[in-house]
Amino acid sequence: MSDQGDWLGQMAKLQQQYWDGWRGLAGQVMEPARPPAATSPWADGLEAWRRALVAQSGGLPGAFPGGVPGGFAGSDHNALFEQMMAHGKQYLGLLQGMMNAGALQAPGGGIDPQAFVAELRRVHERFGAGALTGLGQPPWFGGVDAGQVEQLVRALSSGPMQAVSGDLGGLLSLPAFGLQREHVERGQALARAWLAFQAASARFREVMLKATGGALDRFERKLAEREQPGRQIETVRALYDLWIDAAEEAFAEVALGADYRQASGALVDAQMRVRAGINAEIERIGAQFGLPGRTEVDSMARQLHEHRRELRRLRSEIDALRRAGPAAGPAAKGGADAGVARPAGKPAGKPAGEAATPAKAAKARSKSKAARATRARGAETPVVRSTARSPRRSR
Amino acid sequence: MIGALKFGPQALVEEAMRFNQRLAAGLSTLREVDDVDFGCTPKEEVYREDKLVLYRFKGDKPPTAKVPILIVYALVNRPYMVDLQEDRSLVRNLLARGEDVYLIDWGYPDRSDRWLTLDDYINGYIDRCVQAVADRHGLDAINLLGICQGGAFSVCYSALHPDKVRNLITMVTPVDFHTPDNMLGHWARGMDVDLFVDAVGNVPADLMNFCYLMLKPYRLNFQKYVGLVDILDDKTELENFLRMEKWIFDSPDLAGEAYRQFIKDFYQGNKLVKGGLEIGGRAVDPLAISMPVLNIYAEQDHLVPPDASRPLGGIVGTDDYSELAFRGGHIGIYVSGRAQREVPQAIHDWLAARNG
Repeated sequence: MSDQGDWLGQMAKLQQQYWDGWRGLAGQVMEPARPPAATSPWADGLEAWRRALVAQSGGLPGAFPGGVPGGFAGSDHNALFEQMMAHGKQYLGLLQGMMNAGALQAPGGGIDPQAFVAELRRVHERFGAGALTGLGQPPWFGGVDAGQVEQLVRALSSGPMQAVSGDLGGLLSLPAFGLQREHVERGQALARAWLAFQAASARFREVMLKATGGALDRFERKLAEREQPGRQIETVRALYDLWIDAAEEAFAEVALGADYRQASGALVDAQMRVRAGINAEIERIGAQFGLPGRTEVDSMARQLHEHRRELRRLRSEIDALRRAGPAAGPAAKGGADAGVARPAGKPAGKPAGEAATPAKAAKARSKSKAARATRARGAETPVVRSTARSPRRSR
Repeated sequence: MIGALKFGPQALVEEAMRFNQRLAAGLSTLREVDDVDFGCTPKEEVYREDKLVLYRFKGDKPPTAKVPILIVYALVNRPYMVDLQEDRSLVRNLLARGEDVYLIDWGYPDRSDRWLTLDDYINGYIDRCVQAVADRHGLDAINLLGICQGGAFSVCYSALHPDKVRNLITMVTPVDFHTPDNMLGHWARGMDVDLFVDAVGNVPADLMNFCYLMLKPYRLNFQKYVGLVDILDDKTELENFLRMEKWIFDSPDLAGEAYRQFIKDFYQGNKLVKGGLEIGGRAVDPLAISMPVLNIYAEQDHLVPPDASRPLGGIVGTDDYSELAFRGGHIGIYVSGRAQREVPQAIHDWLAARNG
């Protein structure tokens, strides 16, 4: 363990040297305004450190399966560390964006916010919403990604999906015939579902792009607001938080709109059609080999469930009869701590709606809604606001 | 400096360096952190059915309240949020004030539970748990505390079985699913839920979590983890973070049929407010809710906006309706320091005023 501690110390020293170099370069930049190259060496540096860490520990790149020197005590911490590294690289990449050529042309060697936003726009146009936001689409389940699903669709739909490019739509609409007619038609349907999913994905990406584009517009406006003395941004983190605020506001505006609802709904629907098609094909193949499929198992589960419900209903009726009958057991005078099952003579719960007598309902309707509670919004200490109280009952 | 930024390239490098170093140093803290545990209050199992377990919590001293509280949590997350850790526990704080607290743990539904309906949950499971608690105390009716989706269930239950509920408390409970700021409600109206449930059977937890993360995608996917670097040198804070992270992603799959009905009748049909809701073939009339009602909502709730919760006051039949606006969010209402001070006390005081 001590060796590992020393090794970490050496790593820290190397990192310090790395950053000292950058600090020196930043100092030079302030004078002749000659910026460093527009790459992402900061994030790359972090990645290099991570790789070195894994190599030192004998672990595999991309994961720390007990491979971090000294190991993590908690079972989930490897994943957390990986996640932190991913977000750390993203954050450092953002900072690096400010150090690029465009952002360092302000008079006096300062950072030009407009140039910084322009840099973000450039990234946005180049990589699209995915690169800027890292936001994905509804997940395929169990760690399966869209590429793997596509392979599955290709395998299951055999003929039609072999020519995935070109005029596939036309091919998939050709009539099927002969011995394989039914199989071909199912394959065509699955392939069409996959194409529809791809179209829905593209449409969803367009809507997301709109949200991220709006984020940059908002970010620019927020930066302009901060030019006033006393409102300036003093740290990079504050700038990052401002960007997050802008992005969140822009997303909310889009997400509450009709386009997003339509696009996300269509995407989920399209994904489900693909999934249903895959389910059906796998079930069909399984049936060829005598294996029960989802439909069969669901059917049995449904029957079992109905039996369980019926059993409970009968038990409940018997219970109610026992409670009402003279042979009922002794009352639960000892209460909960005595472990008594239930008191004698207690009626079973009334059927739903029974208590909502017309009289009660009329009374309820007649009460003044204006006398309803008002909330204590903004109060320093929350206050329970009530309408008229009911008569107190013993507790 | 000019413009909006009051820092230069050198400060930028310094900050990047500090970030990098903190990240690297976090490695040491992570090595010290064990698997996080949760659920700090002792409890005993008092009833079990299928995957459901009904617990009674044990406080340091015997309860003084004669009417117990049954907590009905949502299906979409695990209920240990109400008893996360010693200094973040609604349950613990209620017990300390003399309340007698029970909780329904729904468990993790599997494919054999795919056909469970809202009728099974509300008129079945909840009703039998209420009966079990009432029987143990020799009572006709008990106090019900419904949380989030569990709150919506509790509203339905109270309307269907008003004589079994002495007082109804709802926390961050959606009632009106069509308010303009309700993202989940907005999105749910764009999907074909029949196609969805027919395809997946039970609803995968991953998909539900994806939806929740998309409510605040930048904060929940990015900013949160960048901010994590700030606490990497604090073992306790890191453990708190990990515990919360565990809770967020420790989500059960949802029983398909119950989900189908919940989306159709609540999110799409908004029937709790508009009327026409039926559970198990019985009409749910909120006007039948004649017992006192306390509705607690969070002012910064992004999952259940206040406007989605407050309409409860307009649909229930009781003359004794109260509201508590909590200054915080959907999660903060359980785990923040403010919540520990304010929410359990408010519940206790409100109950004490009604139960003598």
